Amino acid sequence: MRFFKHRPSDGYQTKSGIINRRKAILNTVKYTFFGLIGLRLLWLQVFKKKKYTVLSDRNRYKEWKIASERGLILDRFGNRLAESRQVYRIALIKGDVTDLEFVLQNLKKILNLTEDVVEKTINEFRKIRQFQPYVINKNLTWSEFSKINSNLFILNGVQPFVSMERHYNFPFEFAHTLGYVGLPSEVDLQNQKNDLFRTPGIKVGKNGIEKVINNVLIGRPGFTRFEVNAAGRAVRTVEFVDGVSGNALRTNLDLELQRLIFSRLGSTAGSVVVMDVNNGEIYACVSTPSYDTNKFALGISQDELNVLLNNDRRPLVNKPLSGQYPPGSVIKPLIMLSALDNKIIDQTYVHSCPGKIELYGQEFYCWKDGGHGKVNFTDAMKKSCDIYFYELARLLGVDRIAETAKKLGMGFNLLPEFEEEKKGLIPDTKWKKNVLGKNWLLGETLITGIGQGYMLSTPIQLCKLIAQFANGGYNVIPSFFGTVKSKREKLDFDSDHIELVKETLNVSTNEPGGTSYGSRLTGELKFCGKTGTSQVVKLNIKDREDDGSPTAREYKYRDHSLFAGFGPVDKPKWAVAVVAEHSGPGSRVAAPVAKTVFDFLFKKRFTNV
Amino acid sequence: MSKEQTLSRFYLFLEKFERFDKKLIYLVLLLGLISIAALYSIDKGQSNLYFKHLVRFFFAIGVMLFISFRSISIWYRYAYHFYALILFLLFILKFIGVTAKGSQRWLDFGLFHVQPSELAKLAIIIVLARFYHSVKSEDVNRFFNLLLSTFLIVIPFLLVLRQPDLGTSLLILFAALGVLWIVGLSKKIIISGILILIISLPFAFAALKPYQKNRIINFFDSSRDPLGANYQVNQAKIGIGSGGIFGKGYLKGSQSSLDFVPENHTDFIFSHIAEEFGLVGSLLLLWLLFTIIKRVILIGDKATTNFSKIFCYAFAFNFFLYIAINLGMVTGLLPVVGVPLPILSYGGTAMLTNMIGFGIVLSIQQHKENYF
Repeated sequence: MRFFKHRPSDGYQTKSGIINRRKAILNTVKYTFFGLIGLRLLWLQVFKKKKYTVLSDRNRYKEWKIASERGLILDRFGNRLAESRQVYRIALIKGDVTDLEFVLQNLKKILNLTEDVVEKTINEFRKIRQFQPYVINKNLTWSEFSKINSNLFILNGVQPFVSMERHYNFPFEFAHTLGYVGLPSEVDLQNQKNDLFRTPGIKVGKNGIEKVINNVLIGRPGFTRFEVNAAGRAVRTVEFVDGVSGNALRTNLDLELQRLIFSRLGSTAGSVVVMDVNNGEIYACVSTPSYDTNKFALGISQDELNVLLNNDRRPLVNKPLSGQYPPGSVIKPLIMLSALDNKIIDQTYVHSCPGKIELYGQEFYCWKDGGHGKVNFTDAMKKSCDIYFYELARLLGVDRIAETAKKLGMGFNLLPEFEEEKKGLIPDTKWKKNVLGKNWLLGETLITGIGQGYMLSTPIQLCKLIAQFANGGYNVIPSFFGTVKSKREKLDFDSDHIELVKETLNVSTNEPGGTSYGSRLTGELKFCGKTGTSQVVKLNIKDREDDGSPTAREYKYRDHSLFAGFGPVDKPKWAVAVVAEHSGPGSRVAAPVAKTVFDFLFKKRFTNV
Repeated sequence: MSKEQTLSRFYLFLEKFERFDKKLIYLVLLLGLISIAALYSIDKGQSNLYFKHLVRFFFAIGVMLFISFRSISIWYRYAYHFYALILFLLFILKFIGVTAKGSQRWLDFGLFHVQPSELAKLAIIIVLARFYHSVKSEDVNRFFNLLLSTFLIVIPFLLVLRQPDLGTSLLILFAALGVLWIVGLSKKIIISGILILIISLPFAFAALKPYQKNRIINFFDSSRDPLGANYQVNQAKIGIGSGGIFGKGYLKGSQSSLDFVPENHTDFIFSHIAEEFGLVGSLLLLWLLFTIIKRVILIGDKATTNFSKIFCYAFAFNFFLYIAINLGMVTGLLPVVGVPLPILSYGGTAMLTNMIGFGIVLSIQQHKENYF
């Protein structure tokens, strides 16, 4: 270790010499360190400036967003279906509230808060950040509001304010179509990329149109930007930015028609869809029974919700879009078109109906005891002869029926942005093999021919189906708002075949003996369509005997009553689909509803252009 | 006293004044003014801290000038007395000290509080300068001398450590080591010392308080616990970094003003200056501090006695040490230890100590011909 050895070669050093030398070494250290600090500052202040500026602003500014007014929803004539109303509310500011218990006790007295609300407030209040407001979910009356204001001196941290709340002018009529708004759920918050939904007190569309075009209606929240100190307390207001109200939405709905249908359906559980046959604009979309969306907008209590959930007529279900029914005889125009299209028959085809046939060891009945005798092409539709269509189905086979149905848009979502919409079901052999794992039975083909068995469709699909017959075989895309501007797309069918089917439909309604003759309109303008009575369960002999008395069976086993039609016959403008759940034959319940609708449309809405 | 005498004394005084290293005085004055302006800016004039600092600063300037007119031989003569007095103050702190922030650091003199540990930093330099002034250079590494100096160092070190005040006690130790280095302590001993230090580090670490351990652990892992122990440094870095090249402008800094940076008036004041004046301002401040150190060393170079030389170099080193540790800490290069930035940070005794130091340095410059 030479280093530690005494080295006399250093020679004699004066004290100040040593001091000077040592000082010089120290100076080098100092230079180095100052250089290092300089470089560090260069790094922080030049190369990392952006990062730290962002962090500094994030520290410095806090934004308190104020939810903006939600856009109006109008019907096609500009009537207000949903609007925003001023309501009085109170918020608790965390950090300003000194004694939450005391404040809530007092609020409970003044506002008659329920125990639920108090408990929820305590729970939620714990979660929010310092100096953030928590809005109590209750609308105040003016007298409550003024009482709060005059008691503010004891209510530390209570902030009364005026806000805009959603109000539905026709809460029951448009409940399913418009939907309602509510506080964003955890899922909503996670799906949203920006922090718009984090605005305190903001309401977002929960379903229906409110949800589909939430981003149009919601507007842009205003905000007050505060400079806050490290404790989070606002030091001064930096800027105030007004929010932008949501845009008004003009829908294709017709308020008067919707209300008429709603009252016409009354207590019947069912749905009606009215659609423009040319551009798919939905004039009315009613689902009954209904519920009060205003209650949902304010937050419904669990008890009230349970009542709705336990109702066997399913008031919460948007039946036109998500009710799936066997279409019954309403499918017959489609079967007929399929038969014509596949060149199985032509308009001269005649088949004999004995009332009952036996095939593959099974009995298949016509709805009419004793049968129709010899049935020709037109009468088959007019009288809705089941045996005739069994034969068509047998000749076609289920796969060709399915092909035609899919060409007409059955079995697909029509309004994909509505999450609640169901696809219905168009069965074929492949489907059964894949899904049920069984081979298709020939007997099942027969009942498919009269819209029973596996086949399911939604009212809106039936409306689209009939609309496409009405307009001469053009594709129709239903829409609640705006019009799908794409070019009219001709479906791959022979126009003559479509016209043939249309004519049989006309006969069904407007000639004596037709299934919906009883519901015909006698004026200059006429409508026509196909009735349907779809069975929910397989009928036994006794049921057949009881047929006609709708109350003979238990409610949930009764037949659905369906009708799909269009009008005016000469110049089709509207298509109507009616489904009345568990209420008997189509001619007795559904067709008269359609009559009311067409009567209204012809009298009030028809202009001969 | 005759009129002539009075007049001649007056001219003597003027003559002395003329001879002063005015540049150093101006630089120190400038530093003080920057400090007052920064303190004003932190609170936007809403507290009177800046005013208190102003009063203290001018009081301290007075003390500095007073000392600088006195002969340096006074300090040489009374070095041990001064040291003993400080030890006495440190000792009685245990019994009558004011407890704040968990440690007994202050003595209450009614009008003002004094922090003897700050004065101890000066005392250790003076007493060691005095001690090594009389030790021949070849005797520096003698065991007996080493033992004596070790005693001189360890007593105040332990007294301050006990308060508890790790930062200041370490600074006392470093200041003393600085003196030992300057007077020519053999490298052999220094290297051995460093080895012993490294070996004993784990034991020392074990003896630290949990919060002190945390600070050191956090220093090596800055992503850990951003709202806890690292909060201070992170916020200080945000302040410095967001300043950019030209800064946010005077009175426009937010990090310190809105209390995001803790200890914003004292240890972390540099963060505020860097935020408001940017890279340009902070580099100018660095230059200012560095120039002061250089001036002090220059005076040491011109000093005629070893006591004066040792004192100047040691004081410059001590001044540098404060700056280095403080800036290192504020910019996140060193762990957080409570070390103020000399003169700039709010705090009376620390400033007084520094000003006494500058007074002595000026006195050295003034009284070059004084031999002991």
